[in-house]
Amino acid sequence: MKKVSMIKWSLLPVILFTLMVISSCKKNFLDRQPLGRYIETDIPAGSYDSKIFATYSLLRAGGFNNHLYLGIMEFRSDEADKGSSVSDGADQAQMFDEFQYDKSNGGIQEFWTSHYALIIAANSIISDIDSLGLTDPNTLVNKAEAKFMRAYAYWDLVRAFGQVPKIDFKINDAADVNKPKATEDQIFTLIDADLQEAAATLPLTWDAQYNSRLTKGAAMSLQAKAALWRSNWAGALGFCKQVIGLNRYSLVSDYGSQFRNTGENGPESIFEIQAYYTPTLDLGIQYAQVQGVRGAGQWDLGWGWDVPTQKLVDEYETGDPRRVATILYSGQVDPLYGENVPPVPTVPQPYWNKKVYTNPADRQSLNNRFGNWMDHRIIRYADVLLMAAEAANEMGGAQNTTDALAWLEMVRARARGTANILPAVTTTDQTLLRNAIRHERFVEMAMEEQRFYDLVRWGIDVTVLPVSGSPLYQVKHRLLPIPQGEIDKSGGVLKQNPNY
Amino acid sequence: MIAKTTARSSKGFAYWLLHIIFLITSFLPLMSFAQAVIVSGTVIGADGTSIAGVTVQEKGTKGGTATDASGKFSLSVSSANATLNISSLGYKSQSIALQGRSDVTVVLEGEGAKQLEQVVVIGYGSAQKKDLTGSIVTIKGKEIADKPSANPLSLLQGKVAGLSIVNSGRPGAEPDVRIRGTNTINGVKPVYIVDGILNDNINFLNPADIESIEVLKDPSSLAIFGVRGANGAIAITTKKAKAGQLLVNLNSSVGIKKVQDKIKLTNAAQFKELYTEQLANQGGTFDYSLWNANTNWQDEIFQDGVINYNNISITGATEKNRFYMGLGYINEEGIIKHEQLKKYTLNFSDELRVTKGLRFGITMNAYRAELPLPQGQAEGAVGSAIRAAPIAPVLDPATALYHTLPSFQRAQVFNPLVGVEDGKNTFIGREYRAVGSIYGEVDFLKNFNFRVQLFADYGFNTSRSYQPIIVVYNPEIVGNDKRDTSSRSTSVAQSQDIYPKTQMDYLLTFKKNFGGHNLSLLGGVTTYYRAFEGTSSSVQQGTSQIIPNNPDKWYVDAVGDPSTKRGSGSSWEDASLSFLARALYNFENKYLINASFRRDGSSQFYRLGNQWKNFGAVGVGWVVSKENFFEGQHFLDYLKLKGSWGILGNKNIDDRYRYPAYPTLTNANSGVFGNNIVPALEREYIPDPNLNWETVHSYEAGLELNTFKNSLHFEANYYNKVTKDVLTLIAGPSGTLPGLGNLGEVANSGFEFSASYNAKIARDIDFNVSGNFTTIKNNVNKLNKTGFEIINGAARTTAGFPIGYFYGYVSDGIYQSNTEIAKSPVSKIGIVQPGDIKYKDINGDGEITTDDRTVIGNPTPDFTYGGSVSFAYKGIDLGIDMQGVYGNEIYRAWNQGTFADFNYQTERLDRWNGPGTSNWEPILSTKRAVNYQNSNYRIEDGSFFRIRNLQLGYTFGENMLSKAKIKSLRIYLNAQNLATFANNTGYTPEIGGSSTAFGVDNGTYPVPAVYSVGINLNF
Repeated sequence: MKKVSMIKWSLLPVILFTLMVISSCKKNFLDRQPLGRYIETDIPAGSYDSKIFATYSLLRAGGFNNHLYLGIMEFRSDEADKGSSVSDGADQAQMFDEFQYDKSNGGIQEFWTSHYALIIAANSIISDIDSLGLTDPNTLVNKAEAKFMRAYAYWDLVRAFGQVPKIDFKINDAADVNKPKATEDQIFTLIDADLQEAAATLPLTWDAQYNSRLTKGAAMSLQAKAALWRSNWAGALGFCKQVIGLNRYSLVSDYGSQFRNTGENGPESIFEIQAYYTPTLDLGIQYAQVQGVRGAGQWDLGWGWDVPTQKLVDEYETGDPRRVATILYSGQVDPLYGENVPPVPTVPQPYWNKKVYTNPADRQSLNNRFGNWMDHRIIRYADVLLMAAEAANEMGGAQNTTDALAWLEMVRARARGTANILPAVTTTDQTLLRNAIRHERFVEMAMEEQRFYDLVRWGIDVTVLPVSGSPLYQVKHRLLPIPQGEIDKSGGVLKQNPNY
Repeated sequence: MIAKTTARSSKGFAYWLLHIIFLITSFLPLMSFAQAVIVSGTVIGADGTSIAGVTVQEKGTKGGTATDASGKFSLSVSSANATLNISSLGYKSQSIALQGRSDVTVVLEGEGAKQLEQVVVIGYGSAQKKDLTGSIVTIKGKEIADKPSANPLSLLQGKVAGLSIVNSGRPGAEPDVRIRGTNTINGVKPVYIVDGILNDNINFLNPADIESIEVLKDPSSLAIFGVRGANGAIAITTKKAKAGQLLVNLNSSVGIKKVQDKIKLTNAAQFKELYTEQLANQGGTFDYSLWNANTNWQDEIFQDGVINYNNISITGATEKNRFYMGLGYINEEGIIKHEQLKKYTLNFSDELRVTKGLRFGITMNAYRAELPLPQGQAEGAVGSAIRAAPIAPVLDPATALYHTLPSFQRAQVFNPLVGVEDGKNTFIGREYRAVGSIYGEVDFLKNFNFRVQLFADYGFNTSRSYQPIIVVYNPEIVGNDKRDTSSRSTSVAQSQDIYPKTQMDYLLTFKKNFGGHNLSLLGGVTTYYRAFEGTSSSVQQGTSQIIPNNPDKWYVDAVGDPSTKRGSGSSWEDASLSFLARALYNFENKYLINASFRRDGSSQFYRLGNQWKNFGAVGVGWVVSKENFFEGQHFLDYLKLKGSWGILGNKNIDDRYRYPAYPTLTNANSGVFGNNIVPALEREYIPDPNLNWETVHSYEAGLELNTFKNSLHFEANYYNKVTKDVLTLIAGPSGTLPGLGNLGEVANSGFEFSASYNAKIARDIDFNVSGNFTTIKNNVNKLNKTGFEIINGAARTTAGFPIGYFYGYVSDGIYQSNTEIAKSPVSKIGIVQPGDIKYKDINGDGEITTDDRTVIGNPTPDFTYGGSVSFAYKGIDLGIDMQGVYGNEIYRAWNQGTFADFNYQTERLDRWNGPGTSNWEPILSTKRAVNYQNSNYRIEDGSFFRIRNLQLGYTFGENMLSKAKIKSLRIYLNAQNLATFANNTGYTPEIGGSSTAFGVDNGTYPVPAVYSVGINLNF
């Protein structure tokens, strides 16, 4: 018994010791910070660079680049169709080519979500900077970038859906986002104010490390586009003249070269969504992949969506080099890289968008056929010149007409090069000049997501589209239905667009 | 290993205790006894079968023995007139005066009484079931040991009222386990307690090493688990030695697995007919000249899998030391070619009694697994096999390359055999796990017991994988070379993950019986810490040589292109500190009160100051049959009324929110400027400063009774649970960052009934029948703000509806003609044409709009049931287990997509292709988006009835065995999932999932039938 009690008592100190250890570490035992992660307090105050870079990365989302984005921006026009094989995504053809809108379409949902994600990220940066009252130049530039991003996202949304909820504040409770629609005027007021600040604050250029970051020119160009959309000719002309007056941009001599990998961020580029792809680091986008030739083996360059229509092919004037720079023909040896494109029906479509056609050498070296490294061009200098010409012609007056003709000629002259084609337009008749500018815009900006909204703002969509393969097209199809998922999530706060 | 991974604060103690144990263990002398008079005998139950492991002691001495597998014992006693004390867990103890006999037969009291006397595991201790006010169901290890499954949990299916098990057919896969409904939109797994260690799964156990499994369902049993108790608990006790001589047990079975119910899909001729028609409807054609095969892809990927389970255990016990060691080996092939799981298990326990009042022990479960194909690859193969067009050949005979699929599906669907055959043996996954504990226990001051236990669970997983170059044959390539390189470059990936967990319990128990009062008190402190640390790396071929298809090369070392090497790592940890208390009190075993309390501190909410949260429960019971007024009647042998109420917690939240209080930043996305990459930081989610754990407010009321001389046992319970402050991730509208808040409320209620009946029909025939029945009513009371929904495809979670219900349109047939369209309500969801589904105008406004969507199904069954019948005649035993569910729906989603054209289910042969041809199957056309809306066209009946196990066994008579020095021998045949009577078109009606999306058939992996033969040998 004596031995037993010894063991008993020898246990006691152990127990006491353990309890002491427990109680001494108790204070910190529950204090556990995230491992291997930054928390907000780890970011030095005043530095918004890393957060603004995140907004650039949001531009790579599907809703800014993928096949269904193109459904909204391109298939609806008369220059492009859904493409691919007949059965592949047949419902998307019905939606965007034949205008039988489906409120539950995944494409409009993704478009909506991607754009609002950018808006919300931008709001958070703007609100943080405002609440801290930061005024150092670097931070103000960050804020201006955020404002551009917000304006860009709303610009896409307001054209696609018309009235949309106006979210211009930092979200602390996700339920705060549940707002009814604002009017288009209210959205444009926000876009105008944001772009004005962006144009005033953004730098003219960036040093080499950030050579494609947002600039004053990008903001002004978007101001011009937003003004033109509302037929504010004087405003549009003014903004275009400001861009031209920056003397920063110029037309590249070879039209087609700017769409190649080597032509990214060239002197004509004002704003493009940046893509980067290597076999080990994929920061690429799907823009080229969804439009790549849909073939087999080495001709499996992508999904083959968004293909040029016959109407577009026929629109080019004789000898216009922009045709072969824009259209990749099936069943021919393409002169650019000397590749022999398989014929129909080995591939399902006769024409493909050559502006996303990749260099076989890149495909080889990157070990990828899908062109995820190809940037997505959003605003080019030629677009600004044609907008200037259009606005000037609409304003009228001798000087404006002269200016319009000059800007138009700049674009045609570049396409012409030294060949004896594309004669200069000389008419001073406003209507004839308007038609010439519209034609020029069609071919110069083909497959660059301009055509559908150009038709809409010119008001000729209802006459052109029904005879261009979309007999069911009506005025109501200018606006897409708001995604049913958003209507459902809002619990009645968000109302569907009329007619759907 | 245990000591190394014990949390920093207790390292010293752990070392100390380990040393003591090993020191003492190594000096263990072999015991020998002085022999006086030898008495021998047999212990049998009321049904005449022998009972093993019964303790037999001479009264007034410390020595003793235990009965062997045939119920026999032999003991030396001090005199021929000594008295024997006979006792065993779950049986009434007896004292037998020998009165000179040297051979006795002892009958222990029967089944009904056994249930009452049963000792069950409750949290942080054990108690007699009769003293408890809660609902705890025990499954004996022998009920599951001879059934084939590498995961013990899957064998509980249909056995316990209120326990829902949805099995997966993949080798060793963990089933979807829910106790009493779906509590929350977050994790719904119960907590597992293996020999006292709280755990997330029991994958590391071998079914043959399990002594018993207890399912804890009600608040009074669960409150002691505090923040981990909300989803119920499953406590596993592994086998320990019983007093008695050395015993060796061998359990081995071998069997075969077969896919029984394949999905009915079109063959090549039928496919061509339908596809041609579909293309005609869409305005296209397809040239079949290169596509003339007739391939049944399901037959190509499936195999009959061989299974083999083996377990050998050695137990030995003396007065001072009890030892158990089990070694297991499981080899289980899947039903997809080359799918194989190998599992090695070791279970070891030893308890040393230094004195009567001082005990030390150690338990250890170790496990090593060679994992089968990753889940995605296995399910991917099944998904491809049901989608691939039958017109594509398997192989091109000339090149011996696998054939590509036709262009209309090539981009989305791969030849299933490419993944199965070219991808075979390119994944080497190993799991290692060591779960162990050491404990010391001392009884002092008569009524007190103090127990310290330190647990460590160390999981270590490694994997290596290889991406081979994959070349397929593609007849559509222009030119002579038809080789299509679908994977163009090799690469190797390697990863290692560590999952340490430690738990420390300090428990003080006080037990005293005085004047009819029986009191048991528990107080304790427990800490729990778990962490994860993982690293992974990869290297690609790049501009270097091809990496050989040889596992010896699959390390991210000096193969491949060094510039392509990438690595990443991640880690997390959390900790909790808890104080617990419990009182079990009864007066004359008649009036019972159980109360428990736990105060939990969690690291997750430390930053917000919300780390402490209290949980508790109270239960009361009244054993009516002990009242005087009950005497004199002979109908009811036992009647107990009981009820309990309590508050429990749930801390299972999405893995992405391990630090819910911290707005962590990710740098997953970088900004790109030209060719310059700049890191970007984004908030992952929006934290809510008031976050706290979910709580479940629950109560139950029930009764237990025995009748017909204890041969019929019956239990009935009503349960009601309301989960408040459900942590809701708001994947907000309009692309907002997700937010997390305590925003929901979910209610579950229902009845549980279970009954068992034992009888002797004839002299040698024993008969047992048992059954259980559970109803479940689930409702989401509240979810964020009005109108907020969690939408997961067709599955929705909305306030006012059951969790994860299916939502969509209701088909009212097919539009047969334009006239019918003209006469019907106007469709505002899209232009409709003849052949399209005509949706019902639910709200009667004369238009088909999105407001006409409604509830079209519920994945939660109205009720579930299970039952078993068994007979025993002499050495022969025959048993059948059945189970089923009723009243739930399945949503068929696997063929809802339109991006590629898939193979057709044979139901599509009855499609609409002209007026009057069908009023259910719409026209063949992927263009008609209106037919691809979520609707009851895709709803299938999820009810099923299954013959779960049919088992025939034979136990050899002793005469035959004794010559061979064998103590017992049983051989058995088992058929599992012998037949399933289901109404859905998929492989299986058992489709698990997450808490808010389950019962959605995305091409679910089949649950096969398993036929096995086994042997159980003791010597």
